[in-house]
Amino acid sequence: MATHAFGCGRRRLSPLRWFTYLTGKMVLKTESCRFSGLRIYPGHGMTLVRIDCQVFKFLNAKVKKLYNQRLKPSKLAWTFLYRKQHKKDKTEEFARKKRRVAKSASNRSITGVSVEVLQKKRSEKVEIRQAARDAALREIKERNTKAKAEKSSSKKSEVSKTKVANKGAKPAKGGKR
Amino acid sequence: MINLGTYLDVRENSGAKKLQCIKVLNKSKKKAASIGDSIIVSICQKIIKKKSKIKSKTATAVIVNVKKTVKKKNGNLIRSGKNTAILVNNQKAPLATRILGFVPYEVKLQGYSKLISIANKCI
Amino acid sequence: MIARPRTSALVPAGRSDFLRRSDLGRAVHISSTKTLAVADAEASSSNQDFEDEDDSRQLAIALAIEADQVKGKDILVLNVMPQIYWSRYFVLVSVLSRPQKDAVMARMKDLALEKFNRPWEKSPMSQSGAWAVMDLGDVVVHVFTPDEREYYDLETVYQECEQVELPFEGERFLGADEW
Repeated sequence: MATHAFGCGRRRLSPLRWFTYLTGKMVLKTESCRFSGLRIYPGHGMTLVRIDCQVFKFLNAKVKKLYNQRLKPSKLAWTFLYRKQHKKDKTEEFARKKRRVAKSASNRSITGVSVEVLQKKRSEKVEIRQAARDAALREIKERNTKAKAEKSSSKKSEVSKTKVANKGAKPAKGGKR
Repeated sequence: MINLGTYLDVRENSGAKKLQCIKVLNKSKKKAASIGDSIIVSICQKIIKKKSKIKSKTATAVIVNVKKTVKKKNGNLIRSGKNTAILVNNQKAPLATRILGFVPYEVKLQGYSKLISIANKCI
Repeated sequence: MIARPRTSALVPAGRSDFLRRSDLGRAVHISSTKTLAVADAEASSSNQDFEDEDDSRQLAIALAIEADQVKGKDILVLNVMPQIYWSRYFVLVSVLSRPQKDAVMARMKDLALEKFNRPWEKSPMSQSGAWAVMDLGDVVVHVFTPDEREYYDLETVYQECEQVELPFEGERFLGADEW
């Protein structure tokens, strides 16, 4: 990580800017400590580059010693990691999260009905839907009346049939007498 | 501060394992070599490789990491746990194909752009 | 805080299980000297960066075109910005002979100077041999022979980098399997 003469760290240093450090124009950029999460101002701290090219930025010798002792930042109460894990700072965020998310009409298809058909149905106007419903109702009514008429006519024909049958049956009975 | 007789580590896949400095190049008699300087080394230990570019027991090397604290032009100080070098030929091209670890920017400033192109990370 | 050189090996004592202790011994410590920080936020810095980027891209593409005119093969322009901080674009060219290589380098040098005002001094060390490098800061040109290109295999090192589209698409995919 190349840093400027006055110690401010800019990770993506353009090579053209490499030669401007002498003029003293630069941007103040703080980095964050890998262990504690605190800000590292220019001119402070230490960077450790491991053999696997992993970079650790430490704020000060204290933090570096803790790292050397293999202590975990999540177990030290003053570090950002600990506070995050134990949910110390972010009460507002959690309260906000409890708000229910309004269910929005999804764009997924249902079995038997494709997405286009669904969308078409959703976008139908009220009058059209009403008209369709009325038409459907009318159809059903017609069907019902038809069915009734059929039934009644069939009943009539049945009755007449049975009457004939009964007539046929009676002389038999009379025969016995 | 690499001088005559210093043992150096190799962090690349050229096949060499341990180097010993024989001569510090392009420096006055009393000055020691540091990051980016070239030295002549004798290859003390090496891995036997099929397609090795190492032909003899001596070679030129570029110093990449030193134990002694070195001040960069930024104002940063850099030091390492080991003295490391990379084998190089007359055309400033590395004999290895891959470099393990990182390479400091100082190496590039001495004209070894090829080395840096192969490196994983440049600092 | 100025770091004093330590005599004992600097071992960050194995934070991660998968690394051996001996590997971690090669820790490199970089400490910043405590100096007064000049906090001067440049408002135009971001704009300038963007323009420079564009400029670099144009230069890289122009150099690639130049190489193509000398019949350079397998021309690749890589945008190495996400991976590297010391450069922006790499131009990789394969060349079959030394005079061809010299021709490519000479033409590129002229182009860089005339059109983009980038003076570049030829150093004999980096030019001779099978691999020639032209380092213009944000654009680096690598001219190899096909054998060297395969040996060093820079494409694998920068395989995650985006390849910039070139006006002459045909040349690019030549010879990947040939070598």
